[in-house]
Amino acid sequence: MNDDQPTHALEDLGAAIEELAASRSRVVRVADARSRTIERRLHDEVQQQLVALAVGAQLARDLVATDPRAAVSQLEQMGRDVRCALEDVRALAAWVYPPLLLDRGLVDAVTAAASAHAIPTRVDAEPLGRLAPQVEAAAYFCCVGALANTTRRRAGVTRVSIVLRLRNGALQLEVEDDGTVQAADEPDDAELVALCDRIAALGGKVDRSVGPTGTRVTGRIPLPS
Amino acid sequence: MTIRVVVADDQAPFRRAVRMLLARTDGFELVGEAMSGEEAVSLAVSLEPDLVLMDIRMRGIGGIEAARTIHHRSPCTATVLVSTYRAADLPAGIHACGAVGYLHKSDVDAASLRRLYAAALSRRRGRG
Repeated sequence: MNDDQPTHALEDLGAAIEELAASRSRVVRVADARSRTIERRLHDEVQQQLVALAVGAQLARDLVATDPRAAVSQLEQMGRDVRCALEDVRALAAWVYPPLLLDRGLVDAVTAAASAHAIPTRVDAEPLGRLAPQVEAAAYFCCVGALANTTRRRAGVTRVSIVLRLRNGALQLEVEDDGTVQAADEPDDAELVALCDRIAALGGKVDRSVGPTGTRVTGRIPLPS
Repeated sequence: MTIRVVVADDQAPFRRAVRMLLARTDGFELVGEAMSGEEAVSLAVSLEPDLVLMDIRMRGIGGIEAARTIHHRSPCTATVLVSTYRAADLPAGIHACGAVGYLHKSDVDAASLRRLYAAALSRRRGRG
């Protein structure tokens, strides 16, 4: 037996503990950042639209007596503004947690996200049925994050494919595109790190391989017994 | 007399609401729109409006610092701070930046603006 083995095992364990602590810290930071984003979107989008409606309502009230025709036009504008505000609230709620994921599961939610993506995206999914909510959410946000990166961090992407399947007691996912990486953005890819941490917290793993013909993100999430 | 107004807010819906309000209200003229505190200061110095409607929370120097600078560099301009904060949540420094008052954005109407501007005028006359 090699005398170095216990030392190596301890070093490995120490490194694993350090990585676990770093990962937990990143998970907390990502959660905080997400909360700040929600606060900012509520303030910048929904609240400002409601404020504008409140100002518009006071104006309409004043116009009723002096210029009824202008009051009607003002109320019509407010009706349009209400519909915009409703759409923004729907979009924000869907960003926080997509109703499709909650109601119909991973495949439908990923397929809907793929349909809405700016680049043609094909989803090749086995019938997965309903998985544990934490697995569905981790896989969904990983797919959507990788999908978003195809327009944010890559150039020349013309097609994207997403694969979802069950193998050996785990959910496997794969997001592949045919673009080139914009190298300057790579060190800041905090979102990918956050996605990896989310999946690592479930005992899974995410890898990314970058080649001359595209980028491939693969993930594996064990299903809870 | 027409009250010349600059609105400073990085949120388009509020700027649009103010634009609409002032366009349909006698006695006001919107002379400029700014999307940052720095831009508001620049417009206040160059246009010397009677009133600046200034959002507190903006990128860059923010509304309170911009109000303080306008108070020094364009003393005839009255700044009214606006936001969606409850009064209890207003940041420190709001009372010492030279602004003539604060309005919740949803309370902005012609009567409030006239009242605050009249108060600013009478305060200035009192000092003069």
